Amino acid sequence: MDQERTEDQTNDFEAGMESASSSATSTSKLLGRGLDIGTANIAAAVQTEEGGVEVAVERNAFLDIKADVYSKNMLTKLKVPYVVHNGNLVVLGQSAFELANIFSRETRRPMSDGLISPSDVDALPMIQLIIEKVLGEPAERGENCYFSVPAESIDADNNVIYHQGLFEGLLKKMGYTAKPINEAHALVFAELADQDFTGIGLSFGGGMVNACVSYKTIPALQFSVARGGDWIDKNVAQVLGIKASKATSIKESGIDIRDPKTREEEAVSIYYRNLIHYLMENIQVRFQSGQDMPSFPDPIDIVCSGGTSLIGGFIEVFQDEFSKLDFPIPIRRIFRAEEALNSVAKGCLVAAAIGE
Amino acid sequence: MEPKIDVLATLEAKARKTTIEELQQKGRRQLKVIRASEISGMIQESIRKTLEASELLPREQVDELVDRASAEFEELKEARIKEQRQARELATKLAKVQQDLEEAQKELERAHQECEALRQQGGAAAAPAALADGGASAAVMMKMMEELMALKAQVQQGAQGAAPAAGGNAAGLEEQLSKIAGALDEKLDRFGKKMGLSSAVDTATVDFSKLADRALEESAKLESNVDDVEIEKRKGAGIMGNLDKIRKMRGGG
Repeated sequence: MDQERTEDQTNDFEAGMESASSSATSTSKLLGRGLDIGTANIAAAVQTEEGGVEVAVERNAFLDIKADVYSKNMLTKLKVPYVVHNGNLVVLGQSAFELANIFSRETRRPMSDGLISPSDVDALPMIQLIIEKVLGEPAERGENCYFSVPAESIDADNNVIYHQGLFEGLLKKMGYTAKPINEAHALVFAELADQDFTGIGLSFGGGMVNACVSYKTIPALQFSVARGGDWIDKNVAQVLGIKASKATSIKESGIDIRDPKTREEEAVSIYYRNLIHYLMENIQVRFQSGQDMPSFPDPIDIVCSGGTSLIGGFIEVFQDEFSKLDFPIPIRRIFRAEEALNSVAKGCLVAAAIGE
Repeated sequence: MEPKIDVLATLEAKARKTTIEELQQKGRRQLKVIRASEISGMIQESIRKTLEASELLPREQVDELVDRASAEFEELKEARIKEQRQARELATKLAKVQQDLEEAQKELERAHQECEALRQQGGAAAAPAALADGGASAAVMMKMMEELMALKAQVQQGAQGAAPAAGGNAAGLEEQLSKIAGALDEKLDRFGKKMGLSSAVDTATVDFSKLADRALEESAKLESNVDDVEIEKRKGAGIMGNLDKIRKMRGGG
């Protein structure tokens, strides 16, 4: 197996992305938008006239705090996005996550397990505000916008149709021609061009992991498991007796799961291994059952993406867990997408631009 | 009417089946055999003699009673023979249906492999195009679906026919046929779903636009500074290479 791209690519990823602050459509000339609606983050991708891609990302979370004039002024001055809702100040996005950590509170999440949260009545207007912010208005009425949707879960009873229909409606109201695409399939569009879009895409999101086995752009197998970054956080929080947002913070503090230094890091590492093993075992079972499986003439690639895959040592641990399985097809290399947080949005953009 | 004694049925129920090997193992080398009809005749004769000896009934009535009992006995015997014949026919039918089902499954598997081979030969666009445009593979799959549906109807017919035949065996066969019909239903659904078809009739699409409208209305009313806050954007590698590749694979340049 080629291990050329197996090193921790977090730094490469950061270096490869040039930060910029500009309005949503300032540099966009080419039509088509890609939107990744993830449990943890929402990312929108658009082509720029320089031939590059610009991705706007916001954390998919909110936090309500008591409304008073002082707080409101402070948030306005600090340019923290908020809305006034039911007499409360609702802080949106990354700022909500940061505030929650400071005050040792849990953020509210518009989505859970990869789908719009049915239990939070405020979820829809909040997520709509976040989408408007990252996506912006269409360059022209009816512009294509491909948005990511999860595949049906093999281990949870989830209503993908409602989720898909709702976002389709929202985007149409915003003036887009909205089309859904499976998020792992979008990942293949973004990352496996040099393999003729043949291979396995694994999108490690906050709410779930989506898998797509693709043969020359055609998805042969798509499914999801209702375990992701949040599942790791929840379990780490349970065993350590801390808040889930604290567990998220530990997970995102630059630790390396190959070499956990503390009890907390050890717990994170254990659950990561468990998640990877669980996923690969399920792919293996589906391959072995032989239904709908293309036979690959050559070894194929496995590409991973998503915020959950950004942790240090992820690919090495993945390879380690993979080596324990008797995987039915030869794998050429396992690597993480260079722009792991943006890959799905970019893949959606590819689909939108090609007008698939 | 007084309850009748079905001598043959009773004999059958109380008799035990064994094999010659089993008897040999027990050291039996010879067997005395007697026909069930002879036992039945002996019982009837003894009843007749008992009735005559009791002098409860005159001779003519005893004869009449014996004749009537014999006729009823013959009638019951015929009915039992008929039931047994029906059970045998149903068992044969079941075996045939099972065989047909296995063959249909093999055919489907072959069709599936053929579809896969076409997909691989035709590259990226060939297989889905064939399916979408009703090409060779789609036609084969459609034919298989039709055959499966016909088979299912045949099985259901068999299951319905089994019920009036009554008897313990018939009930068991009916259950087995129903199971096969159920399995066929599942298979049909699975294949249908794979092909984008379904046995369910569903012409209405769920429209969630009203919910989306509500969310937009609600968020529009909210006091917010979201429009004044700039969001962080990152620039990344372009997608022209990916688009070119897809176009090339589709034969567009």
